[in-house]
Amino acid sequence: MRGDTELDALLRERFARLKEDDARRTPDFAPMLAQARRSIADARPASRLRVLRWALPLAVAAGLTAIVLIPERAADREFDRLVTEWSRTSDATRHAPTDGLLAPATAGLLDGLPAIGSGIGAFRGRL
Amino acid sequence: MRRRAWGTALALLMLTVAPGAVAAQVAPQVDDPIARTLFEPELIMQHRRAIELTDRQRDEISRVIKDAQGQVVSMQWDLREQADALATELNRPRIDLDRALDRMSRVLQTEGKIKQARLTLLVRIKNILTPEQQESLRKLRAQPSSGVPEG
Repeated sequence: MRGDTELDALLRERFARLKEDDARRTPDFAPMLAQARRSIADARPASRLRVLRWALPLAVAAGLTAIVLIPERAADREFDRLVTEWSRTSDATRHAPTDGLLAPATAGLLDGLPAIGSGIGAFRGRL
Repeated sequence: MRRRAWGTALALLMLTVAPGAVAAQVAPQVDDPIARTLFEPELIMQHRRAIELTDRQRDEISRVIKDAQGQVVSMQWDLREQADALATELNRPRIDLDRALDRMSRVLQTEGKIKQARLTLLVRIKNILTPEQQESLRKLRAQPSSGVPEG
Protein backbone atom coordinates (compact mmCIF):
# COMPACT_ATOMS: atom_id res chain seq x y z
CA MET A 1 0.00 0.00 0.00
CA ARG A 2 1.24 3.30 -0.96
CA GLY A 3 1.76 5.91 1.63
CA ASP A 4 0.16 9.30 1.64
CA THR A 5 3.39 10.90 0.52
CA GLU A 6 3.59 8.75 -2.61
CA LEU A 7 -0.05 9.41 -3.41
CA ASP A 8 0.46 13.07 -3.00
CA ALA A 9 3.45 13.04 -5.33
CA LEU A 10 1.50 11.05 -7.91
CA LEU A 11 -1.43 13.42 -7.82
CA ARG A 12 0.83 16.41 -8.09
CA GLU A 13 2.56 14.88 -11.10
CA ARG A 14 -0.77 14.10 -12.83
CA PHE A 15 -2.10 17.52 -12.12
CA ALA A 16 1.04 19.10 -13.52
CA ARG A 17 0.72 16.94 -16.67
CA LEU A 18 -2.92 17.94 -17.09
CA LYS A 19 -1.96 21.55 -16.63
CA GLU A 20 0.74 21.26 -19.30
CA ASP A 21 -1.69 19.53 -21.63
CA ASP A 22 -4.27 22.29 -21.17
CA ALA A 23 -1.60 24.92 -21.64
CA ARG A 24 -0.49 23.23 -24.85
CA ARG A 25 -4.03 22.96 -26.23
CA THR A 26 -5.15 26.46 -25.28
CA PRO A 27 -4.20 29.00 -27.92
CA ASP A 28 -2.27 32.05 -26.90
CA PHE A 29 -4.62 34.71 -25.58
CA ALA A 30 -2.54 37.67 -26.74
CA PRO A 31 -2.84 36.92 -30.49
CA MET A 32 -6.57 36.21 -30.00
CA LEU A 33 -7.08 39.55 -28.35
CA ALA A 34 -5.06 41.26 -31.04
CA GLN A 35 -7.10 39.56 -33.76
CA ALA A 36 -10.36 40.55 -32.08
CA ARG A 37 -9.21 44.14 -31.87
CA ARG A 38 -8.16 44.03 -35.51
CA SER A 39 -11.53 42.66 -36.61
CA ILE A 40 -13.39 45.35 -34.65
CA ALA A 41 -11.18 47.99 -36.20
CA ASP A 42 -11.83 46.51 -39.66
CA ALA A 43 -15.60 46.31 -39.06
CA ARG A 44 -15.93 49.97 -38.12
CA PRO A 45 -15.00 51.44 -41.53
CA ALA A 46 -17.16 48.79 -43.17
CA SER A 47 -20.23 49.83 -41.21
CA ARG A 48 -19.42 53.48 -41.86
CA LEU A 49 -19.12 52.66 -45.52
CA ARG A 50 -22.47 50.88 -45.39
CA VAL A 51 -24.10 53.94 -43.80
CA LEU A 52 -22.43 56.20 -46.30
CA ARG A 53 -23.70 54.02 -49.12
CA TRP A 54 -27.26 54.99 -48.10
CA ALA A 55 -26.69 58.41 -46.67
CA LEU A 56 -24.69 59.82 -49.54
CA PRO A 57 -27.31 59.26 -52.27
CA LEU A 58 -29.99 60.48 -49.87
CA ALA A 59 -28.02 63.64 -49.13
CA VAL A 60 -27.39 64.19 -52.83
CA ALA A 61 -31.08 63.64 -53.62
CA ALA A 62 -32.11 66.05 -50.86
CA GLY A 63 -29.60 68.60 -52.11
CA LEU A 64 -30.81 68.29 -55.70
CA THR A 65 -34.44 68.57 -54.60
CA ALA A 66 -33.57 71.70 -52.66
CA ILE A 67 -31.69 73.11 -55.66
CA VAL A 68 -34.69 72.44 -57.90
CA LEU A 69 -37.47 73.40 -55.48
CA ILE A 70 -36.08 76.46 -53.72
CA PRO A 71 -35.80 78.62 -56.86
CA GLU A 72 -39.24 77.39 -57.99
CA ARG A 73 -40.76 78.39 -54.66
CA ALA A 74 -38.98 81.71 -54.90
CA ALA A 75 -40.34 82.19 -58.43
CA ASP A 76 -43.85 81.34 -57.19
CA ARG A 77 -43.55 83.88 -54.40
CA GLU A 78 -42.23 86.47 -56.84
CA PHE A 79 -45.20 85.78 -59.14
CA ASP A 80 -47.64 86.24 -56.24
CA ARG A 81 -45.90 89.44 -55.22
CA LEU A 82 -46.00 90.88 -58.74
CA VAL A 83 -49.67 90.02 -59.22
CA THR A 84 -50.60 91.53 -55.84
CA GLU A 85 -48.60 94.66 -56.62
CA TRP A 86 -50.23 94.92 -60.03
CA SER A 87 -53.63 94.51 -58.43
CA ARG A 88 -52.92 97.42 -56.08
CA THR A 89 -51.63 99.56 -58.93
CA SER A 90 -54.73 98.82 -60.98
CA ASP A 91 -56.95 99.66 -58.03
CA ALA A 92 -55.47 103.17 -57.93
CA THR A 93 -57.01 103.94 -61.34
CA ARG A 94 -60.17 101.89 -60.97
CA HIS A 95 -62.04 105.16 -61.43
CA ALA A 96 -60.60 107.53 -64.01
CA PRO A 97 -60.84 111.29 -63.28
CA THR A 98 -63.15 111.77 -66.26
CA ASP A 99 -65.51 108.87 -65.41
CA GLY A 100 -67.98 111.32 -63.97
CA LEU A 101 -68.44 112.90 -67.39
CA LEU A 102 -69.62 109.62 -68.88
CA ALA A 103 -71.90 108.69 -66.00
CA PRO A 104 -72.77 111.73 -63.88
CA ALA A 105 -73.49 110.96 -60.25
CA THR A 106 -76.96 112.57 -60.59
CA ALA A 107 -78.06 110.24 -63.42
CA GLY A 108 -79.33 107.63 -60.98
CA LEU A 109 -81.69 110.11 -59.32
CA LEU A 110 -84.13 109.97 -62.25
CA ASP A 111 -84.53 106.22 -61.86
CA GLY A 112 -86.25 106.75 -58.54
CA LEU A 113 -89.01 108.95 -59.94
CA PRO A 114 -92.51 107.60 -60.59
CA ALA A 115 -94.07 107.49 -64.08
CA ILE A 116 -95.53 110.83 -65.12
CA GLY A 117 -98.37 110.92 -67.62
CA SER A 118 -98.84 108.47 -70.47
CA GLY A 119 -98.48 108.24 -74.24
CA ILE A 120 -95.66 109.52 -76.45
CA GLY A 121 -93.20 111.81 -74.72
CA ALA A 122 -94.32 110.81 -71.27
CA PHE A 123 -91.53 110.50 -68.77
CA ARG A 124 -91.28 107.18 -67.09
CA GLY A 125 -88.90 106.72 -64.22
CA ARG A 126 -88.05 103.24 -63.11
CA LEU A 127 -89.68 102.47 -59.80
CA MET B 1 -89.16 85.79 -26.83
CA ARG B 2 -90.63 85.87 -30.31
CA ARG B 3 -88.75 89.10 -31.05
CA ARG B 4 -85.48 87.43 -30.06
CA ALA B 5 -86.22 84.51 -32.39
CA TRP B 6 -86.83 86.92 -35.25
CA GLY B 7 -83.57 88.72 -34.44
CA THR B 8 -81.64 85.45 -34.51
CA ALA B 9 -83.26 84.44 -37.79
CA LEU B 10 -82.40 87.80 -39.31
CA ALA B 11 -78.78 87.56 -38.13
CA LEU B 12 -78.50 84.06 -39.60
CA LEU B 13 -80.00 85.25 -42.87
CA MET B 14 -77.50 88.11 -43.04
CA LEU B 15 -74.62 85.75 -42.33
CA THR B 16 -75.81 83.48 -45.14
CA VAL B 17 -76.44 86.22 -47.66
CA ALA B 18 -73.57 88.62 -46.89
CA PRO B 19 -70.66 86.47 -48.19
CA GLY B 20 -72.53 85.96 -51.46
CA ALA B 21 -73.13 89.68 -51.78
CA VAL B 22 -69.45 90.43 -51.13
CA ALA B 23 -68.38 87.78 -53.64
CA ALA B 24 -70.71 89.30 -56.21
CA GLN B 25 -69.10 92.70 -55.65
CA VAL B 26 -65.58 91.28 -55.96
CA ALA B 27 -66.33 89.11 -59.00
CA PRO B 28 -65.30 90.67 -62.31
CA GLN B 29 -68.03 92.26 -64.34
CA VAL B 30 -68.77 89.71 -67.01
CA ASP B 31 -71.00 92.20 -68.82
CA ASP B 32 -67.87 94.13 -69.71
CA PRO B 33 -67.10 92.99 -73.27
CA ILE B 34 -63.35 93.51 -72.81
CA ALA B 35 -63.10 91.92 -69.37
CA ARG B 36 -65.14 88.95 -70.66
CA THR B 37 -62.57 88.03 -73.27
CA LEU B 38 -59.37 88.63 -71.30
CA PHE B 39 -57.94 87.18 -68.10
CA GLU B 40 -56.75 89.23 -65.15
CA PRO B 41 -53.46 88.18 -63.52
CA GLU B 42 -55.31 87.71 -60.20
CA LEU B 43 -57.58 85.11 -61.81
CA ILE B 44 -54.56 83.22 -63.14
CA MET B 45 -52.81 83.40 -59.79
CA GLN B 46 -55.89 82.05 -58.04
CA HIS B 47 -56.39 79.14 -60.43
CA ARG B 48 -52.83 78.40 -61.56
CA ARG B 49 -52.98 74.82 -60.25
CA ALA B 50 -56.34 74.15 -61.83
CA ILE B 51 -55.17 75.35 -65.25
CA GLU B 52 -51.77 73.65 -64.83
CA LEU B 53 -49.81 76.81 -65.44
CA THR B 54 -46.24 75.83 -66.32
CA ASP B 55 -43.18 77.41 -64.74
CA ARG B 56 -42.30 78.91 -68.09
CA GLN B 57 -45.73 80.51 -68.46
CA ARG B 58 -45.55 81.81 -64.88
CA ASP B 59 -42.14 83.37 -65.58
CA GLU B 60 -43.35 84.95 -68.84
CA ILE B 61 -46.43 86.39 -67.12
CA SER B 62 -44.21 87.71 -64.31
CA ARG B 63 -42.03 89.42 -66.91
CA VAL B 64 -44.91 91.12 -68.74
CA ILE B 65 -46.45 92.27 -65.45
CA LYS B 66 -43.11 93.75 -64.40
CA ASP B 67 -42.88 95.63 -67.72
CA ALA B 68 -46.41 97.01 -67.40
CA GLN B 69 -46.06 97.88 -63.72
CA GLY B 70 -43.22 100.34 -64.26
CA GLN B 71 -45.01 102.10 -67.11
CA VAL B 72 -48.39 102.33 -65.43
CA VAL B 73 -47.14 103.66 -62.10
CA SER B 74 -45.31 106.47 -63.86
CA MET B 75 -48.41 107.31 -65.93
CA GLN B 76 -50.57 107.27 -62.81
CA TRP B 77 -48.42 110.00 -61.29
CA ASP B 78 -48.85 112.04 -64.50
CA LEU B 79 -52.58 111.41 -64.45
CA ARG B 80 -52.90 112.62 -60.87
CA GLU B 81 -51.01 115.82 -61.63
CA GLN B 82 -53.06 116.47 -64.77
CA ALA B 83 -56.34 115.73 -63.00
CA ASP B 84 -55.35 118.17 -60.23
CA ALA B 85 -54.53 120.81 -62.85
CA LEU B 86 -57.93 120.26 -64.49
CA ALA B 87 -59.70 120.45 -61.14
CA THR B 88 -57.88 123.70 -60.31
CA GLU B 89 -59.00 125.13 -63.65
CA LEU B 90 -62.61 124.04 -63.12
CA ASN B 91 -62.61 125.44 -59.60
CA ARG B 92 -62.40 129.04 -60.85
CA PRO B 93 -65.60 131.10 -60.71
CA ARG B 94 -65.27 131.78 -64.42
CA ILE B 95 -63.59 129.08 -66.46
CA ASP B 96 -61.50 129.56 -69.56
CA LEU B 97 -63.14 126.87 -71.72
CA ASP B 98 -60.23 126.42 -74.12
CA ARG B 99 -57.81 126.00 -71.29
CA ALA B 100 -60.12 123.59 -69.46
CA LEU B 101 -60.59 121.50 -72.61
CA ASP B 102 -56.85 121.46 -73.16
CA ARG B 103 -56.29 120.25 -69.62
CA MET B 104 -58.94 117.60 -70.03
CA SER B 105 -57.43 116.49 -73.29
CA ARG B 106 -54.16 115.83 -71.44
CA VAL B 107 -55.99 113.86 -68.78
CA LEU B 108 -57.75 111.82 -71.44
CA GLN B 109 -54.50 111.16 -73.24
CA THR B 110 -52.89 109.77 -70.12
CA GLU B 111 -56.01 107.78 -69.29
CA GLY B 112 -55.84 106.35 -72.78
CA LYS B 113 -52.18 105.44 -72.35
CA ILE B 114 -52.91 103.66 -69.09
CA LYS B 115 -55.76 101.74 -70.68
CA GLN B 116 -53.50 100.89 -73.61
CA ALA B 117 -50.79 99.57 -71.27
CA ARG B 118 -53.39 97.54 -69.41
CA LEU B 119 -54.82 96.11 -72.62
CA THR B 120 -51.31 95.29 -73.83
CA LEU B 121 -50.64 93.38 -70.62
CA LEU B 122 -53.90 91.45 -70.75
CA VAL B 123 -53.43 90.55 -74.42
CA ARG B 124 -49.88 89.39 -73.76
CA ILE B 125 -51.08 87.26 -70.86
CA LYS B 126 -53.84 85.74 -72.98
CA ASN B 127 -51.34 84.90 -75.70
CA ILE B 128 -49.17 83.07 -73.16
CA LEU B 129 -52.08 80.82 -72.17
CA THR B 130 -53.14 77.82 -74.24
CA PRO B 131 -56.72 77.69 -75.60
CA GLU B 132 -57.49 74.91 -73.08
CA GLN B 133 -56.26 77.04 -70.18
CA GLN B 134 -58.35 79.95 -71.44
CA GLU B 135 -61.42 77.74 -71.58
CA SER B 136 -60.75 76.50 -68.03
CA LEU B 137 -60.36 80.06 -66.79
CA ARG B 138 -63.64 81.08 -68.42
CA LYS B 139 -65.41 78.27 -66.59
CA LEU B 140 -63.65 79.00 -63.30
CA ARG B 141 -64.50 82.69 -63.57
CA ALA B 142 -68.16 81.84 -64.01
CA GLN B 143 -68.13 79.86 -60.75
CA PRO B 144 -68.71 81.74 -57.50
CA SER B 145 -65.35 82.47 -55.93
CA SER B 146 -64.46 81.05 -52.53
CA GLY B 147 -61.84 83.77 -52.15
CA VAL B 148 -59.15 81.22 -51.29
CA PRO B 149 -56.32 80.91 -53.81
CA GLU B 150 -55.69 77.37 -55.05
CA GLY B 151 -52.07 77.83 -55.91
